[in-house]
Amino acid sequence: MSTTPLPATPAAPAAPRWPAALTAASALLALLFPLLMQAIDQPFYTGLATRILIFAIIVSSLNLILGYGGMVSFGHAAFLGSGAYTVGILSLEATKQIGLLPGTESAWIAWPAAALASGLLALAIGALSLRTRGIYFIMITLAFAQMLYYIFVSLKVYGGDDGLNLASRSHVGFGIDLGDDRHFYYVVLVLFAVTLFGMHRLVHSRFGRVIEGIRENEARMQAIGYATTRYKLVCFALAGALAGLGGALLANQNLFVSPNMMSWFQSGSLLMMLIVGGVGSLWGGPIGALVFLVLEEVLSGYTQRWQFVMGAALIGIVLFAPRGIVGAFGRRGS
Amino acid sequence: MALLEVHDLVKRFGGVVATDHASLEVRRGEVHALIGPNGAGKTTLMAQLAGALRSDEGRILFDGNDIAALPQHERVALGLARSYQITSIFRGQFSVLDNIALAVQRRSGSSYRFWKPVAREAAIEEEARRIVRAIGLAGFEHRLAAALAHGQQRHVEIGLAMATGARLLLLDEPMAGVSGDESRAMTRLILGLKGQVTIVLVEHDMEAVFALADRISVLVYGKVIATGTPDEIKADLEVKRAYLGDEAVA
Repeated sequence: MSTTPLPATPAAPAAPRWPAALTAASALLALLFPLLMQAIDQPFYTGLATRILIFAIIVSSLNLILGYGGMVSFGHAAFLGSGAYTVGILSLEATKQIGLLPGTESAWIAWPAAALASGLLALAIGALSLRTRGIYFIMITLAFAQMLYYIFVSLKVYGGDDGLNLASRSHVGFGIDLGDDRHFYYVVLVLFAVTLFGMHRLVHSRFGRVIEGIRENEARMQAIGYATTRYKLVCFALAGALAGLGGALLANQNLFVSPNMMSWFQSGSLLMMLIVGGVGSLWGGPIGALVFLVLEEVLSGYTQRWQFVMGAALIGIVLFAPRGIVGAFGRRGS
Repeated sequence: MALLEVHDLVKRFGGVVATDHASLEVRRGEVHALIGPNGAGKTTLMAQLAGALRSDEGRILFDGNDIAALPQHERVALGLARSYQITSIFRGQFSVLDNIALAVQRRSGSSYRFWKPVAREAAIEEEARRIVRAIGLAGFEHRLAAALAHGQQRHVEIGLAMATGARLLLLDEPMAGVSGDESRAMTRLILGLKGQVTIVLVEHDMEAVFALADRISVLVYGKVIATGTPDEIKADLEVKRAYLGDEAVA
């Protein structure tokens, strides 16, 4: 686009910018979406949009550790699953006369509890995994997630292999009924916006700089005085907590939790969404979730072998846009 | 009083003794050059002093305190920082200013701050700009560090160590791979630091060593075999034999 030749030592390019009009139009569409779908009598798509927003939160949490922190975790679904099960178990216990635990259906308790449980789990898994690097880190995070998967498969009190049905969505009060898909959509939309704004602040904060410094050159970060493992662990736990919140929302969306939520297949899907969207870009997670889930929806309408087409699309994106969709459209030149 | 005292330091890699009871004393304010043939263990010794490698035996006294058991980041906090022989700076989207600011940030309060944009912290930026000027890169603040010429990257390398606020800099071959002109620019940069900080300098460029060093230690097979002023070292036959070869002594 630019006509001036590239200088010998280019200045740091500005952050990618979408046209303001496009941003405004997307925001307006997101705000009015459930009303539009109701008007054209297609309420099903409100559910799909909710699902996309939930996955946008979860994939963004993976982006925090992978894109910004450079930690390739292949077990991120563990934190999604532990968040979902926290909501599922609390809800189940609330319906029992004599439960194992005090249960609750209040979102104000169950959702923070989900984030806390997943955050603590990530703290424990991270404390052990972060001693390793590269391929070993990938394998050990995968191993922990699979351990958790099999624990929940064999946990018959909470449904085992069959999973757990939720009697209803969480209660929030204030006249909001999450059982209404439109209400639930708006609650998720608010949480998504808060998540993305929070991540925007975080990556530009002192902590964000440290995390990116570690991704670029961990040895040098130690040499200028940073205890790098501690920063990575805090980042890992934050991402785990955020994925746990996403899991809590997903449990509500599906009214169902199962061990499949934390399988390696799920972890792989999260990775694919992030790679499609753009690793290390703020909008990489949301765009990846949007494209992946819309493709899945469209393709599975035509064929049961939709994963074959999806695979081909992924190969194309990785080959021709290695920085993902956001990377391909966001920057000029090179 | 010595700022750094090294007593009988040992590092073994399997059966190989890379550092063999090395002892060294670095006086406050001096430039202390460490020379020796390839494979003498200079970089290993530097890594042990910096804390990137744990020592098997011996003591490292920094300002009188034994730091041999401290991890690297705690040594930096005490005021001891290294630079690398092979340039190790922050590339990717990191500008020159970003590089230096990251090192400044470490010593200006906690980095467990998650909300306020670091770009709005004027104190960090001001100090980082001062260091960028000091390393001769004024005007290059917003260039990507990865896109700089090799010689300029070497200056960023030194700048990162300086920006930690260290009282003792361990400079591992700052002239590595640079041209004659660049080497003289680096010599001027280090001369400018003289007196403000104490420097341990590993260097192969003998012109630079004799221009900069107050004292020189010679490391051979992991042992310090001689320490003295540049003139004394020049005159030391044993050094000539070990370092320059027998022909040079004859």
